[in-house]
Amino acid sequence: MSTTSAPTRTSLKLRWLPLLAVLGPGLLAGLSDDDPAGITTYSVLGANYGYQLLWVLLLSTIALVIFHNLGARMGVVTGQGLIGLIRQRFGVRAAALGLTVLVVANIGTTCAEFAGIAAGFELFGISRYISVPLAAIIVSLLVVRGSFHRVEHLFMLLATVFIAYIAAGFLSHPNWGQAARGLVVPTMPLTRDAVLIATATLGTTLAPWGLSFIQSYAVDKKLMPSDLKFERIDVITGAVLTGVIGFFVVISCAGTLHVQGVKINDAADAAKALEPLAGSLASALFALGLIGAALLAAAILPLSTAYSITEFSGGQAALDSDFKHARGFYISFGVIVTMGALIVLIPGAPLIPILVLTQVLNAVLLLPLLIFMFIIARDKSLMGEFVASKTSSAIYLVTIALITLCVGALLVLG
Amino acid sequence: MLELNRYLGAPIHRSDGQLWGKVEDVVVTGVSHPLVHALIGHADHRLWLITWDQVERFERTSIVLATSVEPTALEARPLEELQQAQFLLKRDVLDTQIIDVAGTRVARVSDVLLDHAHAGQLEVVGVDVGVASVLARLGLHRLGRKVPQKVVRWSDIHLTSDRGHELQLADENALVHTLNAAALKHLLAVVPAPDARQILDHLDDQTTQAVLADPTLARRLVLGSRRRFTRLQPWHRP
Repeated sequence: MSTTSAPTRTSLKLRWLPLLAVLGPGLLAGLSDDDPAGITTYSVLGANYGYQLLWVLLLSTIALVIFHNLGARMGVVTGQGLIGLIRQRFGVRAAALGLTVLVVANIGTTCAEFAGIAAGFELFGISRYISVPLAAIIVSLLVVRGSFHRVEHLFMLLATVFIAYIAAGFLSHPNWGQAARGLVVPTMPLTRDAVLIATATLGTTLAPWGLSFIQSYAVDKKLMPSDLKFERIDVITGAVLTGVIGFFVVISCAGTLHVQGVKINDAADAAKALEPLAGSLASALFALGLIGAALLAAAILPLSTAYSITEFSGGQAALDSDFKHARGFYISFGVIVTMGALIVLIPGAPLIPILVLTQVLNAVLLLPLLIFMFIIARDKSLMGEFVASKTSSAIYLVTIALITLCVGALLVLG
Repeated sequence: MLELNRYLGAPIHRSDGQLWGKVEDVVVTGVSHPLVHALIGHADHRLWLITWDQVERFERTSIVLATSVEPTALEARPLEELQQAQFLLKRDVLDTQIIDVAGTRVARVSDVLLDHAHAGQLEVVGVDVGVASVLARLGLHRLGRKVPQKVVRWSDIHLTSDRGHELQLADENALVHTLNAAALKHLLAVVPAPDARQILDHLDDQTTQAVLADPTLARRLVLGSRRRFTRLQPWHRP
């Protein structure tokens, strides 16, 4: 007779407690992908194509789950960030090249985040010469002065601003039936613009800096292999929330701007255009979401870059370290924040070419990074018992093949 | 002093002067005083083991095999063919992260430094963790020469690569087993979390107690992820 008794309610609760402790890398890496560039892409997707391309968002979310999960696992098992692992496995040249492109692309993306902060505050009548320096000082103080826990708590608090998009989505009274159909039925007008926006959606969801961030952050959080089952839940939750928020941004625009035939260029345009169609509350919530998303990403982008630079050089990259022990880490962070903020503030700075170049660099960098990750995942000497199985490897390969098609389309048509 | 980077990829010739292949990696034996045991050569699209006694001459411009030597062909992954206390300098040391225990810092190896020991053997004596070697390896030799090397003695290093960490834990004379509680606390705070747990498992009871008297380390090492449920622990740095 079996002596095993059913687990009590208390033990069940205790079993799930560690999940709350592990939550973080997946949520933050995922949600920071919904940055101003992401919101802009989703807004244009909804405004121009209505609900039709929502399935692209679903596929992007699946790709995000797959590769963020791999990144977190690589970090937890090896105790190293992506650029550090690339240097160890592929040598100094591959790592130096990857790091250079990543840093240039990340500076460009940081500019996009500060431009989002500027545009968001300007919707409320606040000048960029006040909002951008203030945002730069706030994110710097947070990262330089805070412990890992303080930084993580405040990041998570900031991420709650994304609820604004869900509210804006409901206020725009979307057609839920059409939205559900667009999510699961893959149809697409075969035009250059449609292919471009579909590819851009994938590119903005699965970004090189997000991949390097989730791995470095999992290392800095000092997660153990025993945390991996909870970390998987964290990654899936983060990616699904990212997709859900993207979904609500798309339907906010699809139910209003698309129906009325309003064309927009960016997320700030979308917020303005929403006012007469969905009310001033929806418009304000959309703008508030934009500011929160930009602030979160403006902190995470430089942090991700500082992790990568320090991993390449081999120094200490930890939010809990003091300046004396992690000089390179903090100086890198400060330089990236300053550059991102300054470029946005320079009158007449060529922001649009910078953002286009950034998008191209991110697309070009994504593929080699995914291939490096695939090879490392299959390397038993690095991953030990957590080496990728044949099934997982096949899933990675199929995803990489699909992304190759998209990146190729972007480079050919872009 | 010999720098590993200058020999990796260097041509290997037969004793008659004919080009045979190139250097792929270097096998060393011993943890505290690693001596070069063999070269791994690359020729005819496969890897070969050339034991140190089969090497006639080992100079930067000229690595020559002894007369009538036939290197042993290796399987694709040389890892399985390594014996106890053997590791590879390129795979397990170069470009990996190390802990400089004396300098209480984390660093990444840019080059491995070797020196002549007794009886014609070569010994690993230290690593360069500075940018000079990185610049040289990127082809920026002139720039690299302007930057001084940052050398860490081999006796002050704890390796974090899988093989290196495993061998150091297994060798009772390795640095990790000779540290006092204060140095151990620093090491355990900076090595990757899974490595830290393994080191803790190798400590005697008294040292374990001394190390775990530090509440931050205790939270990190003993309670695992559960301790992080206390998400409201102080916001200031530990």
